[in-house]
Amino acid sequence: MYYVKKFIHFIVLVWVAITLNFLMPHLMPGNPMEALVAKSQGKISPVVMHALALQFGIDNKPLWQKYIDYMTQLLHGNLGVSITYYPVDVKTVIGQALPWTLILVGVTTILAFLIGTLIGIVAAWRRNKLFDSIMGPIWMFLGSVPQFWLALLLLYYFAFKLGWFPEMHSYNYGDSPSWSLKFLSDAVWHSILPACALLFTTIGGWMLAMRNNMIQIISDDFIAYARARGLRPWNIMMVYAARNAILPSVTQFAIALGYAVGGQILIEEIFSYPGIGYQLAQAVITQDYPLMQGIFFIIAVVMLLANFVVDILYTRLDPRVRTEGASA
Amino acid sequence: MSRQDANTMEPQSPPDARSRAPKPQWLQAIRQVFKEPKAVIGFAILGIFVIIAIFAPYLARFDPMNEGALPPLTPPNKTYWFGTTGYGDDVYSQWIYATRTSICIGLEVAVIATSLSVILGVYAGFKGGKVDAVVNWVTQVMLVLPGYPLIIMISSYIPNAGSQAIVWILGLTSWPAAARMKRAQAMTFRTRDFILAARLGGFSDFRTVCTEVLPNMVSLVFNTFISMISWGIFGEAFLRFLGIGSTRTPSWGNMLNASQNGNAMMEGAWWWFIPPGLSITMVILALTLINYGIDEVSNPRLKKPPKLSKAIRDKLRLQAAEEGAV
Amino acid sequence: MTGKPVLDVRNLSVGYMTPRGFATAVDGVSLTIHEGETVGLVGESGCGKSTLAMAIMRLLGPGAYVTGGRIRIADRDIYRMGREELRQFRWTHVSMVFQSAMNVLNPVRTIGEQMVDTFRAHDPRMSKREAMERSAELLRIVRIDPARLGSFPHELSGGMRQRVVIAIAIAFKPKLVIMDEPTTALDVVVQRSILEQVMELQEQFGFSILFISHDITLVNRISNRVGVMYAGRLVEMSDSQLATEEPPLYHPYAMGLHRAIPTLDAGDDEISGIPGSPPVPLSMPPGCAFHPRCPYVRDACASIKPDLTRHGDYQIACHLTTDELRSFAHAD
Repeated sequence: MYYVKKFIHFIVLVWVAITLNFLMPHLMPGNPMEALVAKSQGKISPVVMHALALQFGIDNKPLWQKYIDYMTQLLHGNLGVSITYYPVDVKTVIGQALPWTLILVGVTTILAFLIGTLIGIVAAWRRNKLFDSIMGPIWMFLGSVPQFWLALLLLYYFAFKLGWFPEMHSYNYGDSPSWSLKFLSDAVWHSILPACALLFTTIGGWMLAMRNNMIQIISDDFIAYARARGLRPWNIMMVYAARNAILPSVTQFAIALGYAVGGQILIEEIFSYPGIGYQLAQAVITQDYPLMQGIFFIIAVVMLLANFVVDILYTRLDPRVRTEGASA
Repeated sequence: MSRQDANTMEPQSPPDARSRAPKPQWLQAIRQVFKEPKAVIGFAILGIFVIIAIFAPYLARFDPMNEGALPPLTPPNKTYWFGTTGYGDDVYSQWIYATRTSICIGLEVAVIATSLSVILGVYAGFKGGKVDAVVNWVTQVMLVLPGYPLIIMISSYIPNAGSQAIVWILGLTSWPAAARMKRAQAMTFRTRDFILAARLGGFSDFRTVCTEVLPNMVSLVFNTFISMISWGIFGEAFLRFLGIGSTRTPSWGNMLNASQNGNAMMEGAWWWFIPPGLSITMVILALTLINYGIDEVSNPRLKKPPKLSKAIRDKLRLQAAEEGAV
Repeated sequence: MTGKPVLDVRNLSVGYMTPRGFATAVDGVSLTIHEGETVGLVGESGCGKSTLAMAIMRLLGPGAYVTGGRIRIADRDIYRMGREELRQFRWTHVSMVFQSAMNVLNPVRTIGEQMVDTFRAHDPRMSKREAMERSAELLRIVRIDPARLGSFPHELSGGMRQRVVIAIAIAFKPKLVIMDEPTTALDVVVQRSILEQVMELQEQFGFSILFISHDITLVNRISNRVGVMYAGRLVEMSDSQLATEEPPLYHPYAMGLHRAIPTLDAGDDEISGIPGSPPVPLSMPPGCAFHPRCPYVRDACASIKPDLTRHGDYQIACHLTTDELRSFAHAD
């Protein structure tokens, strides 16, 4: 029952996101599509024009008719055609960008969560001791650095000045993606600077959140009771304190993973890393509205899916929710 | 005294805070915040930037936008303290004016988002019923929609988004998380006795919220306000850097965008992109510190356990010595 | 009943460092418990009885400091133990039933897992299966279906949870079990059956109990000796062989406690509480801390702190003489 309720909620939210995606260009003052079409007249082929007209409903059909057309297209898995990459369709562009983003942002999200949470656990357990008083300020400072600015600094110093790392892209130009060792090591090499920019700025958030939760949990009665029973400190720290304190972080983590699909717009843009974020940035700059809408659609669905998974996951992690859900 | 009470010998006024309106002890709370080193450092850093923002015209040495009048890409020297941009502007003067713009944007976003979160969160949470159901649903939906892409989408649909457009976009999209927190807290007030008393006393909902609920949520509201300034400053820089509505009006975001477009990196003009980025970092750090300071004062569980004062420790040592001698 | 002392608290003082100064919570308390004995400790909330319990377990939270005295359990000073030694000592020699059985169990771990954790912490060589079997056996002792080992704490009723907690307390047959308000959160019927259970277990395993409660009737029912705490001090302690011939003697505060007990044959007007409220640790009255509320207050009470002195079968910290105490205690 609980799962069914959550699933219906998920479906409704997806519908809201899609509708919003459809409505936004139509609600903006002076339909931006019309402006775009006017601007591109003659530059793009009549075929694309027609596709665009269909997708954004430039014709004078009533709004509900356009809405139905739009939904039908989506149901057929048709996200439209990219203007920038014409005649490649949006789905293909996203499909090519997605793996890069998943690897770069996905891996760094997982790493940042693991490292940050671990530091947070230890810092809270040894509160106000040396480790805590060093880690707190360092990560709080790094957490305040705007990610894209740190990316600029790293790029400037390690790539341009020292030349230790490549300046852009995700692999050497001229190579074509393959599973060869050379290509893979090259790809890892290219991802180190953007990964560092992501890691350094996000670890702090996980750490501080975990530290705060831990500190609150540690003052709970069941920790004193565990101590009284003579349980081993490691056992108390991990199984009793951290296991409870991590619950809110896990929710955040699953959402962050979902978010990873959206890529890191500015970081990917700065390093010209060909992921989803880069494509979104390009779409914004070149006003490629179909691509923008398609990317937003994908991100929204994955985010909502992540939220749905979190709700399900939570019942596994916190037995209290399970019974509540069952009785509700 | 009821039989039950007499039997168990609990003190006459049980420590049941629900029965009394907790008194917001303003002065004491503020004094405590200023004892917290984190908050003090935060306020100090923020203060410097606010002063720069206020006195910008007196501090700037050149017209921040006198395009091409100065030698481009000059490294910092006695005349151009922070060097010059690739377009021939004085970085120092630009930075001074940018501080003003960015701080203002931060404050405006904070005012919009905080007001919305208070109005929607507190009122709905306190009121309950249909109003709450609708507001809560909207909040939930807004919460799970992807933030950055949504903001980028909206702003890219607005042709030539200026500062004001960006302020409204950031302000109107960032209230849900804060509203949800406030709703949760406001809901706990609904059943408290002092609220009931106010209602029975014929106070309107609006008046009850203003006089009884809000004063007890000051730290949470202030927390939101501080976070939203951070978000406003960062969000502006983020959108500008992406090239959305970017203009030559000096702001930290515009400076970073200009340095990127002007190939500052390849020219080695570090003085162009370091001041705005570092400023954003410092302001966000300051605001984070302030929030942590407030948290430590308002959340007793996060408070540091007080150390034994030196006088008592000395006394104990003396006692121990005496006992040893006997 | 005078076996070997299991718990010996000498002159113990504990205080909390607060932003407004140092607050003494336990002030020079001495207390001895012998083998197989049940000693009750009564007092209002905030009188320092829970702090005393936590100090005995060496579980005082941050900000609390022992400022004097010593505690020996089974002839060992627990404040002179190393970390690992202390860990091994706790629960094998002394265990505790906490105030709130609701909150002492880890909400995300089953009862069984938590019991196994306890067994294996003190005997790492014990296999999981063996630990499970012993846990099941413990549950059977407190009359809970061993199938409950797989339940999460929130799936049990308050009474069951409290039984589980009591079962865990006797896992290693310790010499001393401290019970801090073990039945406060439960309704009267459950309270009664749990008390009976505790007494049964004590008969079976022979541990000593320090029973802490604010409920004087409850404490009287199960204890061999009863101590009364007020404002951090022990103001009264009875001997174990309560001479039934002699009418009991009370500290004036304890008289107040007894008068506040409603009895079936008493009219409402005969029940009286103690006027005033207990002092706040940061502003203790000088002399006897009870003197502002005491109906029999003397000049000396406001300046001199009375020590525990013997009055017949009782030790009472009061400036009144034995005769005066007797006459006041049975005035009505």
